[in-house]
Amino acid sequence: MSMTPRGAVPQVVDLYVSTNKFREQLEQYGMRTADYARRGWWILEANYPTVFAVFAAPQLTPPAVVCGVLIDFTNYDLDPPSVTLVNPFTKEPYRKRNLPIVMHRAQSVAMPAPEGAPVGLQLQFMEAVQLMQAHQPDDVPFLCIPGVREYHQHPAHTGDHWLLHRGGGEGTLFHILNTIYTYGVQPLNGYNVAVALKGFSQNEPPE
Amino acid sequence: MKDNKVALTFVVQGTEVVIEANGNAPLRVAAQQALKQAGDYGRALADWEVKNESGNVLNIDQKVGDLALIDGALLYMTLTVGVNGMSPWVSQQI
Repeated sequence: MSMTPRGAVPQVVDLYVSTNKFREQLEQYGMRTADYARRGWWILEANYPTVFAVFAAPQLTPPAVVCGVLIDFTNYDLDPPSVTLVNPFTKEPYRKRNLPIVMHRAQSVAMPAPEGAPVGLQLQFMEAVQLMQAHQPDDVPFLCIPGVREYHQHPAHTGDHWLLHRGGGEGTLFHILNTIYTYGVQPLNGYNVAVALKGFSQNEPPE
Repeated sequence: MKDNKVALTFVVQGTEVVIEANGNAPLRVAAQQALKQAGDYGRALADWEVKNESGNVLNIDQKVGDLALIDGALLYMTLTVGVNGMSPWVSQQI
């Protein structure tokens, strides 16, 4: 039984199998650690079944520590990993309302042409799809992509079973880290600074 | 570089393979070879993106030479992300 930020998960797969596959994921990562560090990926802990990684944004000045992620590989790879974005210092899971990053993916969507429009006219919109999903602001959001346990367990995705994706490149350590990086960290290009005026400053009071 | 060939290092979902690519051939040829050598994930090439070290997506229909890829260039091949999430707002009209 392992404890994840989302609750207890019993180990049903032979532990030997899951731990070996877990180690394979780490060995594959270890082959390019220096490249990943340049992108700001740091794996701080890796003990089966959990990998704790932190993302920094080296492209910012000064660089920022952006967020952490707990990836739980219990029963890998009969089950895909569970992914939870967490505070990088306390490992406390973020709620939807206090996520430090927005993970949007631009997606083009075809729209029906308005009535009377020339034949053959096609309209397309760029739509921003949120990759971190939750039903309520206080819920712990999940990464809504195939290869993530919470995605495949969601009632809306019962038709898209993990076993249709297993072995296809999704649900790997690299894929999960790369997705968070691509949509959450790499797009960061600066700090939003707000200046608030609070009354007046003044010189030393006169005698 | 020999005979207009360059050695390209592809990192396919974290697995590294080196492909000797022809500078006159489109990048898709080398990308297809990289995919095969990395273990063939059973996915069409259209499901993958090829990015350079800076994270820019490369057009695989362009020639390797035209993309100015030099010997030893590092390229990342990653699956495009499939999503069934909600679409909360329309951001931009083309």
